[in-house]
Amino acid sequence: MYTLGPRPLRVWNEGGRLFSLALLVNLIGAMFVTPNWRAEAFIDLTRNPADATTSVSASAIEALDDMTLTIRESGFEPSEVTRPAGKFLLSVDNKSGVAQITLRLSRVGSGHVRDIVVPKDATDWAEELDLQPGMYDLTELNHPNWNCRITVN
Amino acid sequence: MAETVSQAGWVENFLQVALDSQNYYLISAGATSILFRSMVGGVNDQSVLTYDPNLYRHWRVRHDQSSNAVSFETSADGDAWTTRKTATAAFSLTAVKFYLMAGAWGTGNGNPGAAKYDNFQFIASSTPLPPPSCTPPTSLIISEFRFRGSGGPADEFIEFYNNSDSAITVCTADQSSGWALAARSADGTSASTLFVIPAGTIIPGRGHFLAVNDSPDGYSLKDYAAGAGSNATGDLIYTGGIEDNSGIALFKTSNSSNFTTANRLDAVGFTGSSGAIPDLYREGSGLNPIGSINGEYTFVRNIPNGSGGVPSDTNNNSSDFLFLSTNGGVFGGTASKLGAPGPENLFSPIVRSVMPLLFVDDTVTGSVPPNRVRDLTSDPANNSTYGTLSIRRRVVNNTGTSVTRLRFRITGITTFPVPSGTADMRARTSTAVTISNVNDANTCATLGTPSYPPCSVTVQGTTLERPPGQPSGGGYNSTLMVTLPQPLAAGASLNVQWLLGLQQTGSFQFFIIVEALP
Repeated sequence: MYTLGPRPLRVWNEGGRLFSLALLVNLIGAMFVTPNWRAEAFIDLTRNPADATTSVSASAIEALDDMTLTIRESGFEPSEVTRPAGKFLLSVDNKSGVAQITLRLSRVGSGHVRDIVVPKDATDWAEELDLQPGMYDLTELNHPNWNCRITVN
Repeated sequence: MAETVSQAGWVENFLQVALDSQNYYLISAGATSILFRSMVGGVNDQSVLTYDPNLYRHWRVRHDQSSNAVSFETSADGDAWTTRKTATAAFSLTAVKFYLMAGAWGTGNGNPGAAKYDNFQFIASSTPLPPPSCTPPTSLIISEFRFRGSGGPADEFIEFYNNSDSAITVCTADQSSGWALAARSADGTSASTLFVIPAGTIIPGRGHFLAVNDSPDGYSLKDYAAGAGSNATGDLIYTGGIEDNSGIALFKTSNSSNFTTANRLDAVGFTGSSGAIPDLYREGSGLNPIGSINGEYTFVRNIPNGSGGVPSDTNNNSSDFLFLSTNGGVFGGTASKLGAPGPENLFSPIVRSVMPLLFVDDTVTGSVPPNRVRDLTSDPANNSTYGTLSIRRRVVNNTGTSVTRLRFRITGITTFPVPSGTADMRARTSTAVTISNVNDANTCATLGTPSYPPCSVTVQGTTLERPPGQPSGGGYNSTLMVTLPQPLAAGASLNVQWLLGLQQTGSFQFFIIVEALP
């Protein structure tokens, strides 16, 4: 341990007010989670993250489907998927050896929908997607021959 | 020598100052002779005189720093000393051992008597030499800090990080006393040294060094965990303090006249002041001020995705540092992300990128049990209004040695505040669970019952480390510790889980780094 001498520098400035609790929950995001949340969110506009919210029944919590694709050197596995319309969580197991994966989602006949950068070295990761009925192609930006056809009914 | 052994036959007694068997200084009396020996690199240089127990009653080996000479001296009364031999100090004297020995060898003396030594002293010089000149290493950076905390304006700490794989030793080119951490005034018109990391301080590769304010109501996180059985107390303490929203810089010298950009190792400061001094005490345009409000907050270097745990150092404070608080609050108009201070010292666990995190069951994807488990049970009191997500992995000890302390630091997480469509996740403490039907042959072989698929395994829970208290749950920079009932042997593995409460559902990311100690 080393003890240093006093250093008479500080000019305290303690006149500030405490604003730490003035936090807005992002209502737009909360609105489409569940009906219960939608009603509550409009009441509490200044939620602190420590505040307990009303309990939500398990049946009311939207349990999103998980859709996991594996990417290998040969491309996506599976290469074709059929699923219902609506929201789901997309995960990718990257076993391709390619360090950086960027997914490109396109709607057949309509073109580009969005790009999704798969975070490198994530311990876990999932991307929420909300697809309407139609056919989609998922490719990797630098490997356009890697393709997964997603049919949404 | 209060009493020497008999001088007949193969008996002797001696004083030795030794680095090792090839490098030592020796005064030895025996067989009516007294010997003064300088052994350097196995080469013997000695002088021998006839022994007189009264004339040579007191012995002294003295090192003169200015001439770097070693003198072998004797005295009859302990006051008047006579130099019997001199030699050049040709090996390191920074870690020598002292031996006082006596013994009889062979059969030449059946009654050697007893030796008595008294008044052994090790006297350090009152005028140490300046440290040797060197080319200082440049890998030490400021990795986390705050100029105020929950305890008030003195609740400060500054954490440094050796951003290299090799240990560094603090040294200076100008032979000043070490590396100075200086702070500027709030108005940017002056600056002064707050403390000096002394020359000779060794900081391990990827290790940390912690300086804390020891003033009343000062550093409040001394009970945050560090090494096995130790906490994050300061490696160096200082008093006084740093002004809110000012700036600090680490220089590779303690000579304030050399506080220049060329001698600056790192700096971090705030916007709001302009001029040469504020510019010297920040990198880039600086951080947004946070006012003068007490809070459990911290500034910590961002660890980018895919960096292997290496913090960002682009010489731009605003992009290199994250502003975190345990309530995700807004301070002085600057918004924080949910997270916690996590000060680390010389004894804290070190990032081990060689410890991989594998799926508990690699025969299924990462998004399904047992690798990821979604529980829809609402538990608002524990920051889990929308249930929990348990992420489970098998951590393998590839460090090559046993691990006694293991924890995980969150370096990336979608957490409060988040936009719509993004999950708001809060790290929680969890307990061990047993899972069955694991079909991964490697997991079963190392941890399963039976040792072949399908097997059952235990997944250890992790504990959110406190202080600070994190009533909103853990976020960025929070650490989750796993209790090791016994050291994790080299090559062994352990299943662990990280439990995350959900306050909002959506896309999510979760990044951790492994920190461990042998």
